[in-house]
Amino acid sequence: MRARHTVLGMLLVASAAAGACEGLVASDGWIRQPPPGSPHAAGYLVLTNAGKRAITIERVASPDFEAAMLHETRYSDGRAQMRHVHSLELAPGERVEARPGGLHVMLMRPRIALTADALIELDITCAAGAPVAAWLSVRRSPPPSSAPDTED
Amino acid sequence: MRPLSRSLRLLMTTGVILAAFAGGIWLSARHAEAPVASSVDGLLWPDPPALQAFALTDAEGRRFDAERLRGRWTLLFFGFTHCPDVCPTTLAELAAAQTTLRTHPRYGERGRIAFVSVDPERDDAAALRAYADYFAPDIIAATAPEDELRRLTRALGALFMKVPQGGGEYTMDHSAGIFFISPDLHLVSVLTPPHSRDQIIERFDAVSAFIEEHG
Repeated sequence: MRARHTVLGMLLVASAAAGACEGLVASDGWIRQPPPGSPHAAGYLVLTNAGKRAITIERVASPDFEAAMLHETRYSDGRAQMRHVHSLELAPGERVEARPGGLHVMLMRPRIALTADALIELDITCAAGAPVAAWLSVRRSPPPSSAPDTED
Repeated sequence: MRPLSRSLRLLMTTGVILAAFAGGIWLSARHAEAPVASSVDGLLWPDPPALQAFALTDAEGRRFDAERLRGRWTLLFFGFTHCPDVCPTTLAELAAAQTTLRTHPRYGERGRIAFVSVDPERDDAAALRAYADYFAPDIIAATAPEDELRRLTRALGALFMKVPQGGGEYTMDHSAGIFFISPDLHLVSVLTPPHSRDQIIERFDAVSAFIEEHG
């Protein structure tokens, strides 16, 4: 079974990468448990470039879903538009927060049951490098640090 | 100076009283015609649009039309079940707000959240019910063929559009505001996204107080 549980998994939630993603730290990852009938889920996490060179994230994938991609919800005249983010560059020291109502990982067609507290593997690929794994825990409601983005 | 005759004094006094009376009527008529100014943030006033006729079908197979909303406050949101970010986020905040609003004297037990799917192709009754139940079992979930949906979205000044994403996948762009519909079927406010429970409660309290007094 691919679902992992939080007790062990929280130790792995923050991970620093090597290779093309060198310096990338993925932390505070979570997935909003999708309502029944919804084949898609959104994942959120904090991405920090703790290295000395720019990092470009080119792809995300998850063995727990048939497909995954970076998306961004944008608002235009009160209309929500969801768009594919083809790549995401982080300058040295830059921190990008994926949170509800903004940047998120679109996760399509789960291969496992998304029970609360299950841990989901997210593989992040930077330019020409091997993927690095981040971990997202399934939650029914956001953690206190990830309230909906109401700054716009 | 000759003192005024008694009849002249009487005539003048009567004239003053009549003038004051007429002036009072004129002033009160003017007051009735002038719209009451509103300082409520986001209130569509003084001319909130009346809800035009529409007919959707809810997740129980019943007709969902304007009459279903009469006599209660409705917080209406457009979305679709394949929407992973803004829809579950908004419905979760709406459901949390409604838990508090159940004790609000103007929302009470009759108030409703209405979730209208703009994706009738994928959202059948079973999908809508399962999706809405996850947030609150008394959410009205409804949809209709595109033409009928457009009657409702036009009436509310809302939009939706199918956006292909390749590989046969598509998403829906849609208005993501929360539409506040008054018990006498007027659109009185639209809360723009992103949403939070506290903003929803605050907007409802302010808007419903004003409408109850002046609507």
